[in-house]
Amino acid sequence: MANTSELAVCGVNDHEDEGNEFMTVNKVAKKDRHKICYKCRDINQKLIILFRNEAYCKTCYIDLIRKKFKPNLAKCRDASRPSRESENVVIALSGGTSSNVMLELIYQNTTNAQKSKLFFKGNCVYIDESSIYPNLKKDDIEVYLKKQCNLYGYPLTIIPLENIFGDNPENREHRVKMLKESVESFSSQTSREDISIFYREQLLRKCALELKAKRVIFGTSSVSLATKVFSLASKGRGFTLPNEVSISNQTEVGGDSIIFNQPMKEFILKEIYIYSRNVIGDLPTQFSSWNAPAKQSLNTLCEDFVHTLQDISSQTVYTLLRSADKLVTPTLDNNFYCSLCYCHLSTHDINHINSIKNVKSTNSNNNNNNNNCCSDNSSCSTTSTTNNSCCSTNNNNNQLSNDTLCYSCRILVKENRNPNLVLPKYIYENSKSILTTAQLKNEIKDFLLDDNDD
Amino acid sequence: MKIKVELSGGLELLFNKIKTHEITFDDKKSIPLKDLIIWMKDNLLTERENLFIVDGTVRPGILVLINEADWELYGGIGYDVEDGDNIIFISTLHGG
Repeated sequence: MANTSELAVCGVNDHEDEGNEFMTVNKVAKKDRHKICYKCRDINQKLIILFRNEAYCKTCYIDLIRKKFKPNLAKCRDASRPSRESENVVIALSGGTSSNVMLELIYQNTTNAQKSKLFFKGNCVYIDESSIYPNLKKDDIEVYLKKQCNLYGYPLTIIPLENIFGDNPENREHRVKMLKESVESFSSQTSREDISIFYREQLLRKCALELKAKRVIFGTSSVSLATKVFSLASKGRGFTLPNEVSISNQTEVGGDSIIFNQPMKEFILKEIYIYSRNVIGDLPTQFSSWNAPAKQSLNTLCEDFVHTLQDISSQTVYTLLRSADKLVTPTLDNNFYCSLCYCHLSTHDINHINSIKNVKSTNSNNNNNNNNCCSDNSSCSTTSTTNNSCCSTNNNNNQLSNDTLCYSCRILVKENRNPNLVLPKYIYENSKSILTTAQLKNEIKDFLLDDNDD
Repeated sequence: MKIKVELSGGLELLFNKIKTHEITFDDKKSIPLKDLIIWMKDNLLTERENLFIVDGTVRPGILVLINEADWELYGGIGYDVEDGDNIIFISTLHGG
């Protein structure tokens, strides 16, 4: 291996007017800059990464990442709050490298910061998806996350994904069954992955409201966001793409505003993994078997495509995200959002809902009309007595109007193969609420005063 | 020459779930990284080679570290592995 101390940095400025000689020296200078740390210039320091075409030693790299993360984390604060007042936030952990690195970086910029400390009151939340991903090494992940959260002093809440159907501990098995039916009833793996993501986000939203937090911070890397640019466009979610790949995405539902933040947006996976290896150490393997060939779903296919492009040109991810940053979702009406995924509805969809004269006459999803949530009655009778029961909203309320879904979710719902499918209660409630609001507005619209009227 | 190969990020699952492999080449003083990858495919990989190797190099999304440093610092796939080197393969696919 080349000895770093054998090579010195060449100054190129002295040779600017020397034609070919300049070219040669410039080439040497470019080559040599990968042999010495760009920041400390100490030839005795071992280099660990080529970061945006500059080489860094371990100490400088760790310092660089922490400094680069800080402004993004600062954007996750409510600007109207006094700077020393702690803001309650939910830190969403998946057990993967990106979210673990994010947790460490939040700790470094808040609790452990020597100066210019940011004030956050973090609450870590892990959504356990082992009921639909049996090869997920749930126990290893939970033990590790508990250890890390203890180390950093953040409380950890673990929520099983089946809690999307209520949280009554007595009917857990029934809820797991419902969740499996709900996910497996979709014909494509892409839709199954998407529906589980929507459920996970809804649980995080609900948990944030319970914890009186207005923000959920995710560890989504730039590579994952660049993948989203392709996958969202491919799935017909182009309208919401600018919001979903931005550092801050706000949804306001029934007066409750929750902001999803993605402060790891600046970092590609190579940078995250090398930081993790040097600062955090070994993480548990998430899955007990390799579960994702590239063509498994549209999401994994897009991810593979982005990795291939990134391999060809290291600027791919930044270029994609810069392009996505230039896209803007039109100004929207917060009263109209997709019942399933909470993205804003397009103007066309809003106009369509507003044109509906009677809520009861809307085209309900045929698969969800007054179906019993339980396929076996014995199970149903045990759950229907509690408020958290999946059956509590049966009968008249279990109607999902396709009009209250975004374009992509309408396609997703069409993929359902189970005529008895029951979705989580919140989806029906959202659907009903949107239609009722629209109808009430319609009824009083002739009596409303225009803002421009005196 | 004797080298160490580490696999993580789930990649070890393709190599009989073994994370660390000590490899000895008695007749060599160095071996091109490209050849080492082919050797690993032929001798260590137990399933689905297309998840590890594509077009004679590691699959995009697999991070390679040479002695804990980014392989791009050492010329990537063109690097000659020497005695005592520690080559680390980390899968960054489908994690986060």
